[in-house]
Amino acid sequence: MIANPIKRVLAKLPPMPTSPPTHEPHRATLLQLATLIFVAVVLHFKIADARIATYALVIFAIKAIIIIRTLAPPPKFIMMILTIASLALVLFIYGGWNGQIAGISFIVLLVALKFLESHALRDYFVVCLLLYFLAASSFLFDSSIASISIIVVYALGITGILFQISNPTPMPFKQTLKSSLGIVAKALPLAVLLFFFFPRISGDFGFLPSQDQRDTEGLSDALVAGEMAAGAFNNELAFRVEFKDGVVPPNSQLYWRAKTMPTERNFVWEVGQPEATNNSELSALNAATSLANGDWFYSVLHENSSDDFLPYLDYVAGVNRGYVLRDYSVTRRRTGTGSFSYKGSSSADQLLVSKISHNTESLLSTESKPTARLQALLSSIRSKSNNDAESINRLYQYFLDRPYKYSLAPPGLDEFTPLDDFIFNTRTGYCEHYASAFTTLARWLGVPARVVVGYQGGTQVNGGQYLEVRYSDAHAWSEVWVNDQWQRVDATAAVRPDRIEFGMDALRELWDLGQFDNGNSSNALANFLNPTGTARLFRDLRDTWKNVGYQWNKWVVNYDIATQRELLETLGFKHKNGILTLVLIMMLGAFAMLLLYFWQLIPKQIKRSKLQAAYLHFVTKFKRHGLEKNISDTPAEFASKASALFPQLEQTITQISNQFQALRYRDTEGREEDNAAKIDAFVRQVKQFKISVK
Amino acid sequence: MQKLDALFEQLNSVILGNPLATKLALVCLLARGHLLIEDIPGVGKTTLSHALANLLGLPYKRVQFTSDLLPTDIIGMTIFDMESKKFIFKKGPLFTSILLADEINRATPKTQSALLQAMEEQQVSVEGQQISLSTPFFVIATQNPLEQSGTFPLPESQLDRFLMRLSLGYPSAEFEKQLLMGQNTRGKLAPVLSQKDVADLIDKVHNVHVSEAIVDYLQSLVSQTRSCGKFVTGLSPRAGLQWLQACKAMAFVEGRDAVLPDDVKLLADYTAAHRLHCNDGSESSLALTEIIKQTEVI
Repeated sequence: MIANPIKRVLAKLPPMPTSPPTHEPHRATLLQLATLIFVAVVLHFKIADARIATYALVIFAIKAIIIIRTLAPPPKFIMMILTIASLALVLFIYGGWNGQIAGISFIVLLVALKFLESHALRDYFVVCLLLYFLAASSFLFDSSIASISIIVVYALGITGILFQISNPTPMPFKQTLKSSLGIVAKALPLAVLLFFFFPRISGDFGFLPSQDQRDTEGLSDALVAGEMAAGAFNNELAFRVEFKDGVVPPNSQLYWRAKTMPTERNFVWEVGQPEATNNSELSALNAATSLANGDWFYSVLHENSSDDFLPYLDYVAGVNRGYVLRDYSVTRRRTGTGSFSYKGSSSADQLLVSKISHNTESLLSTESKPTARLQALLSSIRSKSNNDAESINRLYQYFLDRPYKYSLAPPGLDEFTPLDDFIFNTRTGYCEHYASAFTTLARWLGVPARVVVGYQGGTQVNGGQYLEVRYSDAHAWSEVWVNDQWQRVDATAAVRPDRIEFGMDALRELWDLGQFDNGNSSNALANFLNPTGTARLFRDLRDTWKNVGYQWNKWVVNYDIATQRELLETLGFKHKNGILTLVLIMMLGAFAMLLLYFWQLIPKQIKRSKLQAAYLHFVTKFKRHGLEKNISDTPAEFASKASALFPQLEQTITQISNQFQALRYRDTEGREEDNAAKIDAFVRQVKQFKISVK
Repeated sequence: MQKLDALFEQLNSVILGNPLATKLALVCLLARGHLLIEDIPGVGKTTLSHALANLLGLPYKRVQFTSDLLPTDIIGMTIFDMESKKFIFKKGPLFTSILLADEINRATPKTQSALLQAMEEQQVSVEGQQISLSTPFFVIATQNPLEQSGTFPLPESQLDRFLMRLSLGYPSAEFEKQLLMGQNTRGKLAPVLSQKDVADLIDKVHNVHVSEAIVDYLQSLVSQTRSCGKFVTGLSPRAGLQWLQACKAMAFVEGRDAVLPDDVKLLADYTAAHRLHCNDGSESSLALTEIIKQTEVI
């Protein structure tokens, strides 16, 4: 009795195909599939080693020839050799199979090999599934809108191929497109819903292959004269910042601190060895930082970076990611993969924690020694100054007065006395020259000083909705310890004030126009800063496109647990357990859908008429005596079975059966009122019917 | 009814020991459908159709289908009459009441399809003119299932036009002995019914009652052939209509005034199996039986 409803439920499930389709895949379809694989292999050149892609291309070419000339698939031992060769190739090139690139190379080779081996329908299904996987894994390498559009088109293509393959006769292109568009369109709302509302997990996924040391950008840990200048034309995006309530600090305050460099080695400044950690100091500093403090509040969307330091606006007041060090730089504990986001708050003044101490000796030491000319300069400054502050002022004034030039392509310096060469001969440099020179000179003047490296400025997009900071905005400046406080001194600002005032973009524009050192560059500058006509339209369009990219990165690529919480709060899930509530709602929804599905499967109670009920009553009477009616037995068939079993009752059985047949199949039941008397008589007859076994 | 009994008696004296086949043949005729007999040679296909024609008093023609048979060979053709100096249409063997199309799968598809319109619409188009065929028009086609070389299997559209497909099978030993000892009665049969009697009987079939319960049962079977996934295509509405029509004829032949589920079950194999093709190439009768087994009758 219990098994029966379950059996019925199962019987009502959608029919499974009794056997998988066995038709031969059509040649035209295979050629289309081959095109898709070709695209995948060619795109692989962009990501991974060319040797892998070339090898995959060779395997692909063999299969293409087989398809075009309808040859037999290659024998097993050749397949074996090719497979072992691919394995060896991956091992040889990547030294293992860890890492995303090795992983994706594996999949590409797998697709090519499986495609070569395929001959039956199900092989090609597997190839298609592998292609889906390949398309999905390319997200790990590029998640821009353009790339995702390509992947969507590609996925549509694979879906179309699946439709084509599973059809014995190839479908016309339009119909295939319609089918695959339809299936993708059906999946899309659910995918979007799940993407935004499925609870995010914080942290990295353990099962993702580890990040490779790809040529990610980052600021160098050493400041070598001329190296940063080489990056002046690097348009690569470093990070984007959105200021809360649109309160953007003035350009002169837009100093993004990434790291400090306290160690000098022959005009090269380096990030220092971590000082013996003074835990109580650090924890006091970190305890004092809070996102509630500060003049400016912002959220940063940082592109993939190999750097351990997070750029925060000077001076950091609060962080939500990373750890504040004593030099006010913020380090992240662990280098992640891909782009990331964080929030910060900053104020113009430093966070002063009394316990912060300095090793003055190390902040004064330099490896290079001043030349005679430099000594003369230093003593002239020193003789005129009464204290550190005055010395620094005079040093700054020195750069201001002398004809120093700012250049995006500074000349090289003397190998042995680079500082002397720069100060007295070339007098032309990029920010790192000025920062290094100023810091070194300050130390020689007896003022504790260090170089700070980070970014300065940024490009406002869409009327200042957010700021784009590029690697070309990288900047170096000096910090001196004066009056028991660190003071920022940017010698570059003395030489080229418009670097700070208008930003690097403007300077580069002038550079490109050949008006960099031109006295009347103001016209070109004005044109750049405030374009008119087509130029303005062009800029606005560019800004809009940039904004789309920013929103995409913010809401899709970097959609994490924090962004999800933000979204939920906007939607009214103010409660702390918003996500938990959401999970609960989703689970309930899913459960309800499941329940509904099975509810529908449960066979509805079939309504029996009085006549049918009476007949079934009659039938049940035989059950005790070992005769059950098969559902497909007609009344006549049942009657003959029953009569054979109970010959003494044959007459009654036949009579009842015939009566039922007459009432059910001859007199229309729709007019049951007319037959009511007859039916009542039949019911009575059935009631009186007894099976007596002798 | 007496005439019907006499008819059966005569028929069964010709086709020994196969009362079901003779009954089904008659049911098919009364349901105004066409009959396809699929069997090996020499089991009485021709004898049956010959006897049926003779006993019913209907004009009877036989066409032996061959691969070089042309549509005009069965429909007829227009020829120029030298005397009247006019084109006249010379009717082909199609213009008869019972047409025995022997070994129909030997003819080319072109000739086979010439039969199509005639079977479905009871008329043919000759040079743009519609010419009606005699009523009743009854095609008994035979085909040999074993011989495959040089044959053109009937297309599905043509198979769908046959109301029934049956095979006669070997007679049992007892009846074969009778057959061997007895005389050949072919050609000696006197008509039992007149052409008018046949028309009357066909009319009476219309009066057989079909209850809603029967329609529900039959429709559930038909729809299951479409949804079960075992067949390339399910049964067409025409197939359902013909099946029901055959049930009515069956009930009438059995002397009942209403269709019983037994009729539906009995006729399933004969009226539906030949229109269904299993996806995996197996016998469609088996899948059909499976469906019937799982469908409740009450």
